[in-house]
Amino acid sequence: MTPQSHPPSALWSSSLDIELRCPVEPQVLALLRCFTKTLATQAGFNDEAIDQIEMAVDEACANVVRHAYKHLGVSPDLCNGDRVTPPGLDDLELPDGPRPECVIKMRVTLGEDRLRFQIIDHGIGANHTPPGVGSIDEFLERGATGGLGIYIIRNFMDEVSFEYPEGKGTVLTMTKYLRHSESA
Amino acid sequence: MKTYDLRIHEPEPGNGARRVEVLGCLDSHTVVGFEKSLSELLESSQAGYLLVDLSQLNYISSAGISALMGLTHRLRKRGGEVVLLRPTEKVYRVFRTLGFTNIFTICDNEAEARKALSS
Repeated sequence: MTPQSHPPSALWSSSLDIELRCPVEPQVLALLRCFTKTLATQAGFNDEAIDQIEMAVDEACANVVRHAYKHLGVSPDLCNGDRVTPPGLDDLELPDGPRPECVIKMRVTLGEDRLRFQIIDHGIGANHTPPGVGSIDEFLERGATGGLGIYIIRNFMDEVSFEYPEGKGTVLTMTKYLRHSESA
Repeated sequence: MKTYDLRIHEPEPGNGARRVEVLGCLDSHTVVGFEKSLSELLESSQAGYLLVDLSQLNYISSAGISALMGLTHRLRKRGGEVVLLRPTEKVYRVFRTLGFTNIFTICDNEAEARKALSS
């Protein structure tokens, strides 16, 4: 079955930049998916590409919620949304300098032929970024316990890069190109 | 905003298969409740066969896929099986793109699912 195409909205006649700042709360994931899906639909991607963009962005944001601020005791219990303060938090060795703002930032840029997302956190950064799996076989060999999210991000988006500015936090940039055949 | 629900049906006559319906989305937020409920079900009932109805599941993330894989492994270890019933087009597309249609047992209707469970 050919994926359904959506005509691009007139909104996208020129490039557009949007920036969102969200609290690190698990409930935010569903809202960000809605936002992402709406953008991708209006940009003219077909259903399959919309699903892939939605999923890649969700995986990126879920990683921030789960991992980015764990070292500061900000790791929401994904079951009920409560914040979990690890025992002995006072003994944690916090980074020098002011405590970072615990947010997920999403920057979206829509160009003529592409949709680019940047998912930004000020959290723990490179040493704690989950490595992901290289294939589904590897995922299964590891007991299907993790790494699939990063695999999805890398395979569902056309360009993916991770940056760790000044060793603090992570900037994940993901781009999906709008092929002409996708738009009506 | 309710984004997830799970309905667990009574055991069926014969092999005692349980049908569970997953509604809404299965993401890294909601999967914790899903895993907990299914774990309790498996511990309390020794159920070996599960029909997981995905006809009202409108989103699944890697966490949801991992949970279904975990469930499948667990039941296959005890000689049982999990059948995913009627996944929505969107969820099926994700399974297909990632190659999970060859790993999960997926059926379009209940008759086919029951046959898969009894084989």
